[in-house]
Amino acid sequence: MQTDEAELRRQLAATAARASIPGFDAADVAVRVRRVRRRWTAVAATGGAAIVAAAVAVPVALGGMPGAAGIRAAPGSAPFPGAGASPMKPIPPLPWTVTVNGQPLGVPEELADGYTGQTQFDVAPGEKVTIEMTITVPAHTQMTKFFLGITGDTSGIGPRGPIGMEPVLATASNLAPGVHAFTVHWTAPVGAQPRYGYQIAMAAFWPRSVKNEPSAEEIPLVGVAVRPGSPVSGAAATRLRALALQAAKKDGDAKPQWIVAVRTTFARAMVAADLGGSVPGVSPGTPVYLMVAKGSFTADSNPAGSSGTGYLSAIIDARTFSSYAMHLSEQGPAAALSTLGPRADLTGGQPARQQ
Amino acid sequence: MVERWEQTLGDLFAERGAALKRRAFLLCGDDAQADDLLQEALVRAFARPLRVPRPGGAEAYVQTIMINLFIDGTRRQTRWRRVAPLLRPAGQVPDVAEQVSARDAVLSALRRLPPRQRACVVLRFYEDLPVAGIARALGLGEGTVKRYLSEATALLARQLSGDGLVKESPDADR
Repeated sequence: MQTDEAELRRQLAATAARASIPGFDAADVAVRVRRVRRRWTAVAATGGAAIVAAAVAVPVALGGMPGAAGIRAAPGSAPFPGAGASPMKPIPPLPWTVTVNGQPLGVPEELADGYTGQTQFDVAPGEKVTIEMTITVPAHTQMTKFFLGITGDTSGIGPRGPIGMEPVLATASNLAPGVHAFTVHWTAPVGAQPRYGYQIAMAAFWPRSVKNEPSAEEIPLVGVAVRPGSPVSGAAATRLRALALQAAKKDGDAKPQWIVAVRTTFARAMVAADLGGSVPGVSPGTPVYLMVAKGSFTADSNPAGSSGTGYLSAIIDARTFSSYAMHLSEQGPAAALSTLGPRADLTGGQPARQQ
Repeated sequence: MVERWEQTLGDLFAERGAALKRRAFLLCGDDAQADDLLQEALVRAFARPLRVPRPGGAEAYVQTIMINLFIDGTRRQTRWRRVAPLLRPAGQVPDVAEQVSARDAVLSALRRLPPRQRACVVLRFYEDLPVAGIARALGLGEGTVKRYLSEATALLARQLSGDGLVKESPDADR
């Protein structure tokens, strides 16, 4: 006896057709989404006091770009999105900063398809990652417990701590108002990844209010993607950044929106950058860096001399740092750089801009 | 001003809301539960500021969340279901006439499948996803998906043998 698959398909389609249209509309969903988002933002904006760091907690100087509860904010921006939109009393901001291996911004999620999603950090499997984080607890508030760690597809809050945070890299309790800095280390897993990647996340607990508002929340800070390949070392990143800024300045934009680089082979870089096929005298397997910058560049060949948002791509020899090819185009790379390996952010200390 | 996530949500709901509901219905086998499942999946998909689905991938993202919610929810409900029949009011008797139709037989047979197997059947025979796609969607190995499909179709064959959904294999009696 065997199942007639075609008949099963037909019957499933007929059965599915019996479903009514959804008994709610997009506005209903949007109301619920806004409510949950407000809760997320509320976490980031409510704070607390005192400190006991259980993991490696090292005070560092504040700097870089403040953010707030998963939403990057330009330096100095104080009001928190959502505060004032609800009848709750104004919620104080809870600024934070995160750097991964010294990179402050992370890289755009995708380049090739024009999608400009959230930035994230790329690391290689097995790579030892240094995460530096600061959190500023507002005055006159008390944070009873704090957790910093890595989450995957599951995350949430339990009565004793975050759910799905594995590993917890640092904990603290009774955080006093002021700046608290944590330097923690994490080895990127080699095996299978969560479906939606890893997140550096924090969980904040504070005393329950008289209105019984949430007393704790888990907040994803930034995404971390583990990508096969060789990471760009810190020394190489410094040299590549200098080369990129030099080329960008020459092409009309001394401060590109972002610069990213990935280590790969010559042949794969040529294909990804859409620069054509092979070059005589250069082995396809030659290790190179493919560097891409986004900015308002002016092509020398453009008779009008007009500038517009474009991409500057360069293929740099990984040993000599000499340039094999450099290219200006209106479109991004033909293939997402993330398919080549872990990308490094070379943008420097610039705040992230809207793209 | 409409935020980007609201625009994506509105477009997704307008264009694919009914299709998503049909998938939810096949998973749950109940219209009201399907509404709840779909709404919960949409809320989860769009609620997290850092994980808002991109416009082109929103449907797949919501579908994945919906399937995971269904599987997790079924697991949690298992214990409740053991006692639920004891609490059913005496007046509620299943409609026998309804059960005789082939479509209800399909729903009834689907309900008897374990949640992961049911999800595999819906994705394979309703969505026409390849085994590799199902494996990705459910976070399972391809071998596991093949096993689930094999077990599920065998179960369906047994349960639907009188409804024309199965045919005798030439080797069946050997």
